[in-house]
Amino acid sequence: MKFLAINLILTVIWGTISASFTPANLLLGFAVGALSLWLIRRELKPVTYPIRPLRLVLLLALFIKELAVSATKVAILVTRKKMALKPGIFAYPLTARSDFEITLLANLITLTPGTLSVDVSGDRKTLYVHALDCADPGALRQDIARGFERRIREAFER
Amino acid sequence: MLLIFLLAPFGGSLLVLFFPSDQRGATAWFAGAIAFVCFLLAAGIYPFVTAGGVLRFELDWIPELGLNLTLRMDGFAWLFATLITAIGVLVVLYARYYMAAEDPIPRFFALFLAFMGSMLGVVLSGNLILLAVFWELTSIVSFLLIGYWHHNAHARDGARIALTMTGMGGLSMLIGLLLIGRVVGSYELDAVLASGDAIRNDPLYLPILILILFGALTKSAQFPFHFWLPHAMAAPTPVSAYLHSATMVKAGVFLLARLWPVMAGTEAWFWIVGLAGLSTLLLGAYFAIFQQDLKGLLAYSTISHLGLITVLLSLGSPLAAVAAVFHIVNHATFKASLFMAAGIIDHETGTRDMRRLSGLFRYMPITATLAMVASAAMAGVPLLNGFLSKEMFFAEAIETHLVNSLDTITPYVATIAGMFAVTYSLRFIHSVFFGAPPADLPKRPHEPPRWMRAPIEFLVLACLIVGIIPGRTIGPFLHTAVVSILGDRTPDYSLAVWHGWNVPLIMSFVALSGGVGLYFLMRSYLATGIEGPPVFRLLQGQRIFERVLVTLSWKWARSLEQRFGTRRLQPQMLLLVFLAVSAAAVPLFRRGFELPPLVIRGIDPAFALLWALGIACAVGAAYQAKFHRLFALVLLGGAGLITCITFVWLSAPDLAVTQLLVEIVTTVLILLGLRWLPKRIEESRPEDIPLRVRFRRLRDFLLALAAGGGMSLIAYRVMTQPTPETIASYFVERAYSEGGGANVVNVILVDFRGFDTLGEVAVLSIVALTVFALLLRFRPHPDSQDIPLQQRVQNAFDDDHPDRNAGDSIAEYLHIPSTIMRWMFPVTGMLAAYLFLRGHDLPGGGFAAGIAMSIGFLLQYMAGGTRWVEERLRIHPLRWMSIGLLVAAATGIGSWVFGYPFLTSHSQYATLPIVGKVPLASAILFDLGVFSLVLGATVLMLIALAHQSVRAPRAHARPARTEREAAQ
Repeated sequence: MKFLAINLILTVIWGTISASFTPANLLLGFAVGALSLWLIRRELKPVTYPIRPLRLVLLLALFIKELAVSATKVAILVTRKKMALKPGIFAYPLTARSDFEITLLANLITLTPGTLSVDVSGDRKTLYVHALDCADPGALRQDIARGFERRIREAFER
Repeated sequence: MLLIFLLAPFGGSLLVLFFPSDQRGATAWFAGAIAFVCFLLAAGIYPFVTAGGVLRFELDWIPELGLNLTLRMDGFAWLFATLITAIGVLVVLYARYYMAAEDPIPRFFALFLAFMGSMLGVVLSGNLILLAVFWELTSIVSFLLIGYWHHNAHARDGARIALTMTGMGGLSMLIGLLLIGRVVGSYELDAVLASGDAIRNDPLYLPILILILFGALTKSAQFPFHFWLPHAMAAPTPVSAYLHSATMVKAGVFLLARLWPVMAGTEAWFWIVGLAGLSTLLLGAYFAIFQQDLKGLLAYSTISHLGLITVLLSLGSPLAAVAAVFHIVNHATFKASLFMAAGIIDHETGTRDMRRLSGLFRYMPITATLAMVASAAMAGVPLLNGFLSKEMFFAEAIETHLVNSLDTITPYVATIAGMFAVTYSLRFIHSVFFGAPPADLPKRPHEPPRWMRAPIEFLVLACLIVGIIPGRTIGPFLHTAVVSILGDRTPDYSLAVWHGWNVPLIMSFVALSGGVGLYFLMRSYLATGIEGPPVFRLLQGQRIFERVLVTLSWKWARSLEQRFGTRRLQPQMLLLVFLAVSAAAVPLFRRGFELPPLVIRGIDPAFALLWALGIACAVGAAYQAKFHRLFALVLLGGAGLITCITFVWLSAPDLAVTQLLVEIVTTVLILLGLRWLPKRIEESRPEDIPLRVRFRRLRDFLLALAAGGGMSLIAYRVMTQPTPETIASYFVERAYSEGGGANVVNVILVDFRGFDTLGEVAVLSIVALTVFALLLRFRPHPDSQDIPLQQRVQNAFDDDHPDRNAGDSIAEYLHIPSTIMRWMFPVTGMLAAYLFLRGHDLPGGGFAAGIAMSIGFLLQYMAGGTRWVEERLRIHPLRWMSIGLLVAAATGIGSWVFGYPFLTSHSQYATLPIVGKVPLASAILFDLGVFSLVLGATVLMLIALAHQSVRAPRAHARPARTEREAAQ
């Protein structure tokens, strides 16, 4: 019961891959999920952070918005005759702490066109991000800090 | 009844193994009881086999191959079976006292009983193939018994020689028997015995004869294959007494006598068998005179006597056959007792060397007397059984059977051999029991325990009684045996001691007096104590044998290995591909090969583009393989994906799923292996490449083109052929109705062709184990022994920064991907479960699921590193593999329980609460086995590769260090 949340997520995944959300199938998915969690039971730590569904929805909305905005930006950038690009890597000071949050953030950054997370420093305090247009790293940092990172922390941090 | 008779020794053999090794008495009692019961059974059977009666037992084994478990006991087999069991009882009794306390007794008696069973099998077999099986069993058990004291090099050598010789003979005999089966049309002995004329007139008669004779003559230690028998004397004496005088070596002459009605009577038979027998008779006796080892003397004497029997069988006359059977029995009695006497002498004095033994009569008078009577029988002294059969032999020798030179010299050779026999018998007695008291013996000799002597007493008594009143004792039994061989051709013969003054008696007299005279003439020479006969001493069969063996198994093998071994992969590949291409090309050229015209229509541009991409990837991979392995691998993956998409395109989702998963696993495994390949050789400028290398490359290139081109030609030809009505439609029709699954491919795999799949997954596990075993001893190329550059840079970075621990950078490397990979594990588990569960109706199944699950493990290894994973997950690929194999096999066997053939699938729908109707086929259990096995095999290979990095290359590390130290 400790891993109910993860198990529920797995059940949803099961429903997705088997393309059927009938109660019977979901029940089967739940059982399979429990089984595969049982395999790694020694590695699982109980989830210590609360999940706030409303904030999660906000995060999702933000992500979709960012996706649309930056996709347009990049599209405009690359179709211009003279590509005034200044690509580069900047360091982003992380405030998110847990592995889960960092990974989520890094993936969201990567998923939005134009930016790409490259690596995390060993002490997990810095995220290195590659940007297609790195003319103003400060602005980019602020975007992330006020956008994704804030939403993630709202959704998952205690 | 016959089956019990045959199985009792084998069963006993198994049981004896469980006796504790310190219970010598109980073990011997048990083994003796088994032998005795068998003997009683044999005695009880006797009334059934008299007057040509035959007792049969038949059990179908593999009737399609003509192989039935037919047991058949006629008079001759009965005589042999009685001999085997009776002497078996005596030898068990003897061995009880002979074997030392520290010898592993259960093993001895287990092998002993197993031998008894195999020997009974040989004589009882009513089917030629069954006979060959038991024949080989006697060879193998004999090998184990000769090598019983396996710490002794002589025993090991002797065992090996015996096995090689008798094994070769057995194989050749098997071929001969198969040919007989071809001629006769049946392997049943009755059928074979009934068709003697057909065999003798068949053009294959000579090959059959030679092949079978090779088997029989090697087994019976006939010249020139006799040399294994003296070396087999390294066996414990009970074994020598039983196997190498009374029973196993008689198997050869048994076979000759058994097939005598079918094979004998021709010129070829007479020449081959007669020549072998005569030379063995003479040389064996001659060699025996010069032996210094007691058992050696007896061994050569055995060879000589076997030669005598062989000569008798060669003559082709019914009377000679009677004499042969009679002598088989007589020889078994006196020779077994002599061996036991020799064993007692060895046991009580500690040596068998006749140069050291003398004057033992005063220490062990009873044993000495017994041995004297037995050796008198061996020499053919009147009033003993040896005399009778020898007289019969002499009488047959002077008869003219065929007019040729061999027949003419037979009586002379026989007399001379008889003379030699007297000489060596006299020598045995005189040098061991008479003369000065022995000096410096390892032990002080005395009489053996009462019951150790009992078997000898019994056998010697038999010699005497048979020798004095043959007609009333052995007569009826002998008659029974002879009738079963000869049938209506059974001649009139008389077993009497006194036949009046005739030529055989004179020959006996000449042999006796000549032998005594010869012994006294040769005493001075023999006293010099040289081992082996003059002149022949230099020519040792064993040495020739060893040399041939070394040449065959060492020199040739090594040169073959050097030429084709795995040390030179390139030539090996060349050879392999070349052979494959030729094997494919030859029938094409001989049968003709026409290509239907190529019709191009309806090209889908997207599909064409896809294939152009795939072809580009494949060619690129081939080209880059030499220059950039990673590129090549990436391109290979590309080609694989295109194939995968093609499968989807051509609506083969099963193949697509499997291909995709296999592609992933292969790529990852190759990636792991890539790190261990040696460095690339930098290409020099094109003009510097020597001509030879260019030629080689051109040749290889052409060969590769031929292979690839040929393959596509064949594929083209096959695919342009109109599809014939195949079993495919059958499968499609019945997949659901009989297999209970909508996914035809899966139903075929786990149900219709389940047996194939079982074999395939077994092969898969063998491959995985092989990979594991090979990699276990893998020593990387010196180039790739060091840790890779990237890791070195990362470690150097840790070293430079005092706040970091060694290994930090590696642990932090690719942090985010590895976090994701860790999370993926339960998801891949679910995917695998999904693929597995839907396999019966939709693309998927155990194989795909197993691979998917192993991808989950692969990701874990990649993300966390070997140690990390193994600290956290329980990974037992071997266990998974074996469980998989067991489950799959058990499913198959399970259908036996319900009375269906192996792997019959059962399917029905079960209604579970809430979930609803669920298809439940027993095939799903089978599929579970496949899943487990595939998972285990893949993970095992992965582990084998992954552990390379964990393990320090020890074998090379040490010399490197010493070099460094030397440099300093």
